Amino acid sequence: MRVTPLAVPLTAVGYGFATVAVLADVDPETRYPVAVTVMTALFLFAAGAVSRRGAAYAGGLCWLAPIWIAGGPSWARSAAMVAVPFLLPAAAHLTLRRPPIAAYTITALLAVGRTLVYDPFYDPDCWRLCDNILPAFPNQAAAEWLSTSWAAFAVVFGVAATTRAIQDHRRMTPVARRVRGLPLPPGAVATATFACYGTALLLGPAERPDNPLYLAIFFAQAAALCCLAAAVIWTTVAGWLRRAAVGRLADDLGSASLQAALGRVTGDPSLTVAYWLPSYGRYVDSRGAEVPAEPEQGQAVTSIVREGQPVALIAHDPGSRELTERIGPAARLAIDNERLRAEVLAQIADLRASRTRVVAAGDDARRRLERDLHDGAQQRLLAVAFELRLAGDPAVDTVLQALGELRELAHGIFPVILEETGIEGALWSLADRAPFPVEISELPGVRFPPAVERAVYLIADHLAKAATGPLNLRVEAREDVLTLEATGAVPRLPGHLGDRAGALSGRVTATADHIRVEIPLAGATM
Amino acid sequence: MRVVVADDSLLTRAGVAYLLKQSGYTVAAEVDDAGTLLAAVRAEEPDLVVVDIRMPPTHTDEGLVAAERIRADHPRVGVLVLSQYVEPAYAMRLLRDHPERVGYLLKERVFDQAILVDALRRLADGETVIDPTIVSRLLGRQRAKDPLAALTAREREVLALLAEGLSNKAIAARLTITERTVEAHVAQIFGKLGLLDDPSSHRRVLAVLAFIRSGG
Repeated sequence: MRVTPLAVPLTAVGYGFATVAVLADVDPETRYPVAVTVMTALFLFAAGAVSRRGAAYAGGLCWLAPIWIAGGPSWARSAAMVAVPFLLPAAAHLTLRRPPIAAYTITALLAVGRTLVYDPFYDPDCWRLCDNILPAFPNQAAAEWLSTSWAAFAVVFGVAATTRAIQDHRRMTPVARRVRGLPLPPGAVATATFACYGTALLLGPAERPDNPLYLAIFFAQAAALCCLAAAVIWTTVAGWLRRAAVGRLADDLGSASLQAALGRVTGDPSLTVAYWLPSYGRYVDSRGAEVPAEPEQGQAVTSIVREGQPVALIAHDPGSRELTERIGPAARLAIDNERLRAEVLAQIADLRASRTRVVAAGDDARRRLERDLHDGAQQRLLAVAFELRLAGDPAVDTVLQALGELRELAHGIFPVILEETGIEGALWSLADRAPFPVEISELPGVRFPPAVERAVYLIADHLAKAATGPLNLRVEAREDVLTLEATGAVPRLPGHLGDRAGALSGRVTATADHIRVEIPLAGATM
Repeated sequence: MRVVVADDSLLTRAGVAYLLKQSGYTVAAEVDDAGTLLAAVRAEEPDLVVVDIRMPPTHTDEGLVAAERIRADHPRVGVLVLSQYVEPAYAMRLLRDHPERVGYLLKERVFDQAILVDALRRLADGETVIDPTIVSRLLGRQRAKDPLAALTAREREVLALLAEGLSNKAIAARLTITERTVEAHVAQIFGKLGLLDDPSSHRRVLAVLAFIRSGG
């Protein structure tokens, strides 16, 4: 943990002032506000220490400044008069990412200018910093004018900073809000209380510590600043932890995919990792499936490039950019591993797709052949049979027999009944034709993807026709897997039928009197 | 009797029309697809429709779908579906929703004038017609435990004719026995097979087909 060296002495000084404030002989009525002020200051110090933001030190110092009046030297009280007005730009700085330089400049001009002309001796309303060793050109009118200007500036800038903070928060994606959105709400409240304070100074009664209006503004401001400091600390520490997790990513990966691990450590569930496969010229996910190179709407992309070649694309929420940029070096090995695996899986997927296309092409050819037989040869034989019957020729019986044989041949090539009624009708039809008894103990009455139905039918068809004795068939669809089970005189399953199941990511397990074919239903379209 | 003939094959259409005219039927319309068939049935209000199971555009089961539509919309019109498929599943699908006045015959069978005329007459009488090839395919199936073993030879004959859709009277005429004897046989068969359907209803054909398809 790297902490700006200044933080330690400054924090020590802060504690010193706090102790003085509590032990000193101050008015009991102001002791409580004093304690809150000290706590706020300490928080801002701590925030400055962890976030290394100068604004936090400035804020802390500003809030400590009024305490010095309890017993501090004249020069310190005079310096505080300059420092106190800087608290508003400091709070805005902690809330908004870009430092409000203009606000610092305006504050500096107003605060220093007022200190140069302000002489408390001439101010009837002075109650706090009634001591100034710096007035070079005492001028009560100018001092009042500068005080009023500062109050007006506090109203304008307070309202502007509050509006900005609210807008920023609303525009953030959920991930960005988690990563760095926490300080925004307390920051908005804090800058809003400054606007209220300025308004009160401009329009309300003269500032007195016992005035309930100023007391309420003070407490609201103290609470908001405490929350702001806590939020800044939290955001900073959480950021460290996340960055450390990204750095350790390769060690923590275990069996989880890089994408899941990255999503976890960056807190961005929308994060996706795509790997570039140069031999295929496309991006794939870790399972080898092709993914588009363009990110989805509202996503940012971090590209990991090595030696001028793209390696991976990480699409993520714009809020997690800072983290994803550290991924490259941290997960080099994991990325290489997953990319190799994705490449192998992509090759397997290509092979499977080509096997599926081969099977589909074969099926189409069989379907066409059946149709040609039905519409061609069978029709012609029918015509001949019709003519012969009209003529009373006894040869009609031979033709009818040929027609019957042709019909069975066409059925064997491609069973139309399968396409029309699904597995149920087709398997019963199979049992009607089988040479040995085929019992069907369970059949789903619903339809499945055509490729699955064809595979199940053709395997069952082979089993029924090649069986050497009675057979029992069972088809069952459960949890997206269609299972065909055959028991009895089960024949061996030829390779091309196993391929059919394989083309659908299915599995065949066989023993001497039992065969089981499982085909997943998800993704089977053909 | 007025008949509409629907088949995309000119040969079957013309052949069936020719046989019908020869037998004294009036061919009200000859159409070649299911859409035109439905329009012709609405326009001509025929007594009977002879329709091919496989017609344009998809060449799958247009004929069956059209038959179901006609039976639902025009209950008085009998429908004879012609097919080249010996598939009990098709015949049973035809019977499922409207078990009367429907028939399923193989194409080559209707080229026998006597069979065509007999089938159309039975449809007009409100009976059902199932191709004997389908029934014998079902009855001839190899079975491990044959529930039909309990039937006598005569009862098996009666069962086959029941499955073809014949009425008791027609069975009696076919087997040259009295109608009362047929009734007794039918009651015996239903009792032995444990069939619960009313033996006299139109649904008995479907019940018998379903039993002999899967009851073994």
